[in-house]
Amino acid sequence: MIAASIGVGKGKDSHTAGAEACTQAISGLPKGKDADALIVFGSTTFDQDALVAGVTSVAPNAILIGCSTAGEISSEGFSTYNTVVVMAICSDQARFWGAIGNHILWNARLAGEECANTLTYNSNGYISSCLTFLDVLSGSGDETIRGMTNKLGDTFPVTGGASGDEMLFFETYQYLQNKVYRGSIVGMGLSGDYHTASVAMHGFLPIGISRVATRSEGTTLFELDGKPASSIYEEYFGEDHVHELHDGLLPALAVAYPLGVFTDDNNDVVLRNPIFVDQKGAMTFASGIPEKSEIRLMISDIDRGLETAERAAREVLKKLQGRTPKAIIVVNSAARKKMFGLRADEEIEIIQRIIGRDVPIAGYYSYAQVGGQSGERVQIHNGSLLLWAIAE
Amino acid sequence: MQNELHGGTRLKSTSWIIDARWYYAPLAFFLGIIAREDGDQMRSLVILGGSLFFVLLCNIFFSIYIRKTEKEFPSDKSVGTINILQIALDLLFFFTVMMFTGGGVSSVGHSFFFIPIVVSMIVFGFRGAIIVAIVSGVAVLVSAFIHLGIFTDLISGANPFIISPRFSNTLLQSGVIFILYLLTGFFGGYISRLMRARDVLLHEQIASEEVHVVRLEELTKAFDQSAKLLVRRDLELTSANDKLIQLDKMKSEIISVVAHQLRTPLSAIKWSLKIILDKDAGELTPQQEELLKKSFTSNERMITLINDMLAVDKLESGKLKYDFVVVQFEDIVQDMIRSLLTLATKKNIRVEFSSPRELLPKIKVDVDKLRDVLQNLIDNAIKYTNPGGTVSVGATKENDEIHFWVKDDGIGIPADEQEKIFGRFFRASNASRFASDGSGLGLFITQSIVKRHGGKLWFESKIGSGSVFHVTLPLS
Repeated sequence: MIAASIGVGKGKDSHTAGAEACTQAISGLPKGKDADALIVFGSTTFDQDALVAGVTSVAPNAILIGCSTAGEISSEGFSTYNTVVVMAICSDQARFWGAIGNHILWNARLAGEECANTLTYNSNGYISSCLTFLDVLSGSGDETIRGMTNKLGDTFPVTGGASGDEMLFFETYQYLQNKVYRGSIVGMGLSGDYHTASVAMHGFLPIGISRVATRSEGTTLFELDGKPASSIYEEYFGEDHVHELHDGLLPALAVAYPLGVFTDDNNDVVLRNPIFVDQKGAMTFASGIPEKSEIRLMISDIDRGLETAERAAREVLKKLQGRTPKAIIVVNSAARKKMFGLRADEEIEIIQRIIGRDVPIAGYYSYAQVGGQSGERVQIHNGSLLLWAIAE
Repeated sequence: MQNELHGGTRLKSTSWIIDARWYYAPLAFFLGIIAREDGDQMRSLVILGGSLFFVLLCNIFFSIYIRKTEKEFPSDKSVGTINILQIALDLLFFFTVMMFTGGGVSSVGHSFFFIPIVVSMIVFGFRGAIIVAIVSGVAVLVSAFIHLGIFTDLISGANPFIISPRFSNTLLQSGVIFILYLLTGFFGGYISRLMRARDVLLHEQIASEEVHVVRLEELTKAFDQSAKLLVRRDLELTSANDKLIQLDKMKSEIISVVAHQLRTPLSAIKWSLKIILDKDAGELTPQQEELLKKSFTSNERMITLINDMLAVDKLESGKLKYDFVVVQFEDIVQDMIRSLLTLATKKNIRVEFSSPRELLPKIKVDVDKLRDVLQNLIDNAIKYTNPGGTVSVGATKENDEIHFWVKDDGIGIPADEQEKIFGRFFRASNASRFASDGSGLGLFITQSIVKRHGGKLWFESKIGSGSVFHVTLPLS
């Protein structure tokens, strides 16, 4: 048996909101069952420590993992603001445990490796998949995930996303058990008799002429066609927005228009959202952009976004091969949140229509998505809708 | 044809010939040295060396001239002059070599004349090749005659050599060489003509492609410009949308606070009025009772409005939990009609339920929420129908859905307001006049619940004739 339920908490008191959401989530579980795992997505408008303390006060023995967001998603109320969404999972056939890797700022790869090592160490010798949430503002998301896959294997099913901070791009938080961390990666290992499926899709199309990445180091792109990298946004956004670009607001403004990276060795376009822009116009991403790759501005619209949601949901069902999903985690892109605006609920409605209205959904808007890619190698990407489903 | 040749190609050919001369001129010189005549060896060496020096000097001049002028796109005329000079220089040099290597047909020098023929074929084409072939043939003949002493004999008036067998042999050999030159010039010129024709065709194609490329570049620039406009427009809309979201949030918060703050005093008023109306606080005059009853009804309306507002807040904040269970749909409809029958009877309105011929398949719904949907739709139909009217309710199975509808012959919805009917706090202008109560939230709540069930809600309406509201709910 695998069962899940959702709870949503809101209000001024962070502890109460957390406790309320957790109580609500646990009340939806089969009678007499306690939560084995809690997945928590909380707004940064809450006091993070009090929020997590509120959640754990209700279910102190459950494994807790989660992160702060750029907006929360749940099947009860769809896309919400300034809330905390808790998914409680209980199962007598799957086992859950948590792990953490710290100090992404100092050594991102080592942090990923540390998290993977702890996951493996606590696995009792068997781990079959993992959910992960990480910070991409303090270090390379690409390196952190590479650290994880170095230890777990390139094709190991790692799924998750980057934590958010309401589009401020300042500081994000990761939750593990009763603690709140910064600049870390948290993971939840799964083993036992269960099935998971994850699918990531984006509905963006290239617009305008292409540019070539002429200077790039690590996760920072310095130049495009010999000009400062941020010039691509300056040219497209126009004079009216130049001051915003230079006031450090570019990431929030550019989030709805990710850059499409076209490389010779990859037929599929990979999307990248800038998370930091310096005064000289160099842009930092969660993941590096290789030199000589072709860069184009990407754009989408609501209809295409909804179509993507439908395709992703159908693909998840296809991957589950007829099994009924018991819970869905949605790691959605902040780009899509900006694009959908007031119609953000519609994509969750579509997912529910296809997957089933009684399947609990919890999720959040993130700065990057991990896994669910079409290839085998685990990738970190932007602009995508990532669905993770668990079934018996 | 000459004029049609692309300037760049002509210049490239000229350059190539100048470069080739660095090799073939010294080669001709060395062959000349090896095959030079017996006699005054020193004199021939000096003349051949001097000729080579002159040729190389001229070649340096050509080379400098071409390099200098190629950046300035030299005219066809100046390139043509250089080429004439080059060929003339070659002819002169090879004539000198031929003169000092036995002269005429017995010299190895005549084979060098194929070089200017080929060169002229490259730079001047058919006509140039033929002219140079004739000049070369004449040069061989002249050289042969000089060597045979025919010109000396002619000048001195000595016995003419013409009739001797040696003369006729020389003439014959010179003639053969002449014909070979002509044939080379002819076929070379022919090939050159073909090549030029192909060259011209290619250049025409390139020119046409260049036009396309220029057009494509212009289009790409225009496309990028349009893309910029599109992004800017999109950005403006996104910003406007962000502002709307903020306003919407603020509105929701205000409604939530106001509704919560109003509910408690309104409840207090309700119970106070009830106590007075129940005469627990003393007797009332009929006039007082009537006034208080009006106050009680108005207070009830306000409480209903506040409750609707709180329902919307719950709906939007995610506090509304759904509990899906399998039910028989018709049972809920009949229950609902039964509960609203008192209201209908009071207004003298007939409520008909055309139950399906066969039992509908069971459906998974949240019963309480679905009751709200049915209540809102049937209650609205009764509310906006004139006394004596009829409200028909029906349900049927269509494909994989249950289709439910509520039809009335009431006031209808004005066409220009139909788009807004599912919005929050919206009431049609004629509805407000017809019935003063109503929060304008009922249809918004109804639509949200139907959507949450994966269904659809829509209506058909004609002002003065009535409305039909349809709901479909998926069975799977």
